[in-house]
Amino acid sequence: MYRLEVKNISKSFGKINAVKNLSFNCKEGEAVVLLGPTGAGKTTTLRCLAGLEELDNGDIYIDGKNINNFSPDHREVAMFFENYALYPHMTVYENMAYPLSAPSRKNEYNKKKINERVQEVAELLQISELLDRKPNQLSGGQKQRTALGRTLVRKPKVFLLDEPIAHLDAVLRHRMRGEMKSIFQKLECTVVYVTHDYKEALSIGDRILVIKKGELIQLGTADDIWSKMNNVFVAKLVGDPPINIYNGILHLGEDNLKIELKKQETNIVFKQEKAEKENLGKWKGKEVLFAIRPNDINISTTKKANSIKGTLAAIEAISSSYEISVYISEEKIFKVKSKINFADLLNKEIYLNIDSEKIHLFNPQNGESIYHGRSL
Amino acid sequence: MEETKSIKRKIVYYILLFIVAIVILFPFVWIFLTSLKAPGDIISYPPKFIFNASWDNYKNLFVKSQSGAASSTLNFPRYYLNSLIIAGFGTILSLIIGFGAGYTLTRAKFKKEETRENIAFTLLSFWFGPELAIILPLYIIFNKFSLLDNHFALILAYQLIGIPFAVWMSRSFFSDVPVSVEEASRIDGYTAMQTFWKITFPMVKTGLAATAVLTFIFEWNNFLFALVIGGRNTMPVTTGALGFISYEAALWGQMAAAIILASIPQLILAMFVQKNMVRGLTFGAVKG
Repeated sequence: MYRLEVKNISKSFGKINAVKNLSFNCKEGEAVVLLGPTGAGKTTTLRCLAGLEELDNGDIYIDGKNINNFSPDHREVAMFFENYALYPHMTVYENMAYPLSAPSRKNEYNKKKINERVQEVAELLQISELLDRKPNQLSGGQKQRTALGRTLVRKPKVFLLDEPIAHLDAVLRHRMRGEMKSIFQKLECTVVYVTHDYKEALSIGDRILVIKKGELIQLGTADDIWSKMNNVFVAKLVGDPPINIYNGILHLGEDNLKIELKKQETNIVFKQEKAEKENLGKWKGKEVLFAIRPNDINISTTKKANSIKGTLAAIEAISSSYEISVYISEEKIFKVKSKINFADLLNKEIYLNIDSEKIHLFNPQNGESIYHGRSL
Repeated sequence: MEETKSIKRKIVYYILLFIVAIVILFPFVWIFLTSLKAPGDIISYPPKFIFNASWDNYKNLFVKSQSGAASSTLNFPRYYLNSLIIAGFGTILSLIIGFGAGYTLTRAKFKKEETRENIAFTLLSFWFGPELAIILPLYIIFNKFSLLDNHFALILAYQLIGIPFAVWMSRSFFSDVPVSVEEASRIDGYTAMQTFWKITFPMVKTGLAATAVLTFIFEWNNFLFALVIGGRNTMPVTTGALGFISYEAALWGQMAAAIILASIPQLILAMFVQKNMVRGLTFGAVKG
């Protein structure tokens, strides 16, 4: 039995369909991440789970029990709000004790138990010394921890977290990303986590649910989302700098695949087993989208097999690596991620060596995936 | 240089403040001085600033059968009590209805979002029109129901002032409470009612107190409804004060004393909620 089961839920606001026929489930102790761009319906989905929005259609089950008609206070879920939603007239301690002192939990928690639990969670989140402060005396990071504390003091069936670390500064966000994962594991939480940041999704999610305009695009592990994306939308959403995409025509040889890149001198050619070729048969001679991640390209000054000629246009140093922009035609830039600074090659002609085992092909009409490189 | 400039600036600033203060306070001080003067001093020209102050005017307000013919029919304590009853119960009724409506208008989901503003605007429109425009129909209606010169009738009539104001002002405070805070409380295990008392109310209580005070002041100060719908038995201080000017004599001193006494409840209440009053006077136009 699943801890949380979501079956075909839909929610619309007037003419806008925020969530369309979405289904997924979540085992006990599992962290499922909803990943998607702004307006994808992630928060609406979470609000439906919390009972803050009424479903138009579909069912939600917790431990096999249908909770469609339960009000938020009866759902045994805890939620973290993107804007923290701290109670401004209460101290940090009172904020965190608030869920435990609800009249409906009178029998579960007495004053002593509440105190113990708040102290315990405050210690876990390192906010013990802030307990007497009011929210307006806290920094952004401290507010975030307080709100997280208020969510974690309870032991609900499911935790719902809406962009919990999106508004922190970069350093803190990076640290919290790791901490969140370990907190979830320590507390054995069942979590539905909403984010628009693929890095958060990949690091925190046991499984990741990519949604777009309220519809499920892909559900899979971090590996699936990164290297076996079933859609060009997922490919573009995940990765920074984003994946390079170029139009080409697919040719099938005896034991090889050839991608003829439009307006380019070179073709990408590589060996391919027969069995896999059969799936590709219907794409023979047709246009496809060729995609390769920036870190699967090497830059060199000499022409090799499977290399595209280009002009090195710009180099951005980003932490320990470099993001390099290369013009391969007048309007098309390929991004390359490299450990080496190619400053001496700036504005010079270079070759991009494509790792043929790491390419992806997509259907140019509907964006669905056709082929993933062998070694993935 | 910089320092002398800022000192100059301060001097100008305080001079301006002083002028404004004089303009605003002068009538009040004048009335207060008048209330302490003997009849002869009041009408002397040029006005006297040094005179024998006495509390006689105040005493006379509460002592009946004075020599002055006009005052024999005046019953100031009664007017004062009437004012307290009408404005007091009127305010309570306005707040019960107004706060409820204010909260509902802020939070309720409407099928059409325009409905929310339409209702609010309709309420506000009671404040646009001159009271004179509605006083005649109101008089006819109340007359039909034999509701003239009746405390309850005046309390009802005062709702035309009190409810729209209480709705609009409380609404501006309620809408400052983020919805997500209330939602968080629901998820934390509290019912809607518990959430209101635990979360929403503590966040708006000073604002609601200011609303209550201003509503009271507006109702206390009302003149026209009291004049037309009220009568001998229900006369509040506002219309009662008119009685000091009669065919036989104008009792300026007692009138001034009555006005001073009538201002006291407002002043005391206003002091408590000073900070939040500004919003009420700008009538929710600017969201805090």
